[in-house]
Amino acid sequence: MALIEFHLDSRSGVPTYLQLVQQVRHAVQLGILTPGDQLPTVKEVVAGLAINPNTVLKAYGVLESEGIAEGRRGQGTFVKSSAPAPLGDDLGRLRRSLRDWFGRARAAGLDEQAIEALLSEQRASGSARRVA
Amino acid sequence: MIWLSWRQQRTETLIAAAILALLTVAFVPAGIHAADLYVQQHVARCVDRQTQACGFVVGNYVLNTGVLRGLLDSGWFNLIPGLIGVALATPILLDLENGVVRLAWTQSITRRHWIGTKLGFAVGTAVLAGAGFSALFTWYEIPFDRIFGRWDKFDFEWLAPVGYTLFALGLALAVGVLVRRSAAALVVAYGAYVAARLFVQYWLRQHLVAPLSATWGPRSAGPNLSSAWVISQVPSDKAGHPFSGGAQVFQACVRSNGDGFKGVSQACMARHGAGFTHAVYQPASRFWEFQGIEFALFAGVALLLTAFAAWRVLRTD
Amino acid sequence: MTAALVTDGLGKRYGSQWALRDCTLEIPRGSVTALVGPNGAGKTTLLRMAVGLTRPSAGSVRVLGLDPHVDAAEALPRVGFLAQEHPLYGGFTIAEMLRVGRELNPGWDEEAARARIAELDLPLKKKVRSLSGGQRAQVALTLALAKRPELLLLDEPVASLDPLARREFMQTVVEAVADRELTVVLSSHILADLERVCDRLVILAVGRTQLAGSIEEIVASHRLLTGPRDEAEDVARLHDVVRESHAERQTTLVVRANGHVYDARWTVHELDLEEIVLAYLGQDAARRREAVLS
Repeated sequence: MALIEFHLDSRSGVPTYLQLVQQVRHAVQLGILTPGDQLPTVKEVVAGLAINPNTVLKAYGVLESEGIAEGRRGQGTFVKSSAPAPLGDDLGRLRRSLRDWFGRARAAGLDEQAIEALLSEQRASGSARRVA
Repeated sequence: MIWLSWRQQRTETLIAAAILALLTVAFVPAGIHAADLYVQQHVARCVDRQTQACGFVVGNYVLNTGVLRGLLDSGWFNLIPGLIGVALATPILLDLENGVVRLAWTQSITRRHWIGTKLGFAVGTAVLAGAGFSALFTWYEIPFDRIFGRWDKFDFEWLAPVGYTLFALGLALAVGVLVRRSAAALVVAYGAYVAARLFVQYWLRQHLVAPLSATWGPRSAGPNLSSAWVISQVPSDKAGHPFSGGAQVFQACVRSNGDGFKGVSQACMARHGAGFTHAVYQPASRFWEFQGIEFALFAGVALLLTAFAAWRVLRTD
Repeated sequence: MTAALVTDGLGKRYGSQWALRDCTLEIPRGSVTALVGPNGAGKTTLLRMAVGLTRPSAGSVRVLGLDPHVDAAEALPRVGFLAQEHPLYGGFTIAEMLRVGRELNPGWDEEAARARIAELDLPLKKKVRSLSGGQRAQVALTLALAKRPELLLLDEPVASLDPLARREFMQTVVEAVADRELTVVLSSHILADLERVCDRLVILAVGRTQLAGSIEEIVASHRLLTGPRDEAEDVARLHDVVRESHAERQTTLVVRANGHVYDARWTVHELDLEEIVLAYLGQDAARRREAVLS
């Protein structure tokens, strides 16, 4: 049985492989996955989500290059022993600054939809697609 | 592929087997009874003798045994080989009609292998069914053939039924690959089978080998035609031409014979050039030749039709 | 390594009508390619020619380097095909269908087939005609996969299925892709699920290839431009316009990137795959409408 289960938001505009990467990162940060844990096999992910295996391979490739995971031949992909530890203090600081930002955005007159649009836009521009 | 061919043909094969089983159940007991009676009543001695007593023996024998034979006389059983042949084509035609052939043709065997095996099975079953039909009736007819001659039930004996069954199968296959609706194809093919059988039986067969003819006068017995296939037998003149002046000659030659009855003087008839008989016939000895020719005809055409169907299937796009 | 499927000027004519014409494409191994186009575009014809059910009228087709018609004995065991109606012998039980697969395929994996049927929770004694649409599709797919093909061709495999059956069918397909070196080409006129499952796309319209390539590259290279109406012609001269539509004051273009920089007056938007495909199909329909009207 796989340790975690992935889900997809097909309307978020975030590419599938990136969503998988983010969910693994998230799980590691929250401590759900610890160093040495095995990530779901490509077959398991693919069977669960009905997505192309290359997408999973790409996601796992990104995780490997970020140092979060490592692939072991014939065994699978595992959370790396030197995965960045949960942020702790950083997390608290980020949370506070986010709270401030939301306060300022609402004070400036942005409604929920406008805030959502702003967030999506900034998130997307951080991804691989570039305007020609 | 062998299992698959059998499995797909299973229903039709069982139907053919059931038909043959029914016929067997109907005719075997009667056949055994007829064979026994033939011996008990010493019919063999009387078959070729033309005495009145023998006539009575033979007549009595036929009356007691030939009830079921009357069914054969009616000719309806001729429809059975056609039915079986057409039925055996059904699995292949249905497969082609509903497109499930696309499953068989995209496994690992070639289309040639597929059609070859399926046709082989259908043809093999047709041969077996025809042979079974033939064996049953050839055996049943043994005593009656001695009395009436083999020609009488030509269509039911030896090679003929095998040829007919193959022919019906070939027709159904050929029509079926041209007409994509199987039901219509089977009906058309069966109709063609019946038409062809009638054509051969009532017209073509007698012309396959030039028949013999004989003319004989009132004082001679003529050739022994009891076992021959008499195509025509008419009153004629000495030269064998059909006699047309019958009425006048009759008038001229009518005599009282003293007992108060009137009769026709044979001598007088002969003087007028009448009283002869002209017969056109195929002798009993030619039975085997005709069986061979008719089988070659039907089976040969069946082969062509089946090959055509196979060719069309291989060219299907 | 030889490509999984290569066509060169491939065409098929029925009478005077060309069902497929001048189709040239190359599908590499290991990919899951969507063959997309409206009904009558020639998708079925293309797939049938690839597996040897239909012979080309023009051009050539090679699967795994082999001619599907001439080299049928060699090609058939390596190419799996599933026709749109999921053909099975209606009066057969599932066990008998597996036997068909076993008898007709030397490379048949009986254990895997049985395991799959058990996974699907289907009794082997069940008759095929009593299966639901989704179950039938799964049994037909099991048959196609159990012979362990290198290339799997699926003709509109999920068109007749409800959403759940569709999802389960595609799960089986991608699981098989993940499991072994399997190349898949599937035709579909339903665009929604394609982006998840496929990494390559071929658009066929009016029996011709309009677009072919990796989905990632296609999405990255197409853009929607909106701008003032009068600029339209200039842009058209410089850029590869797939579709254009004009309002009174504004023009909207779907373009394929060709290295040119877009003028500042044009607003550039990204497009999702469905929009890009529709642009190609729409362009085609518009052209046909024009041809009819003129």
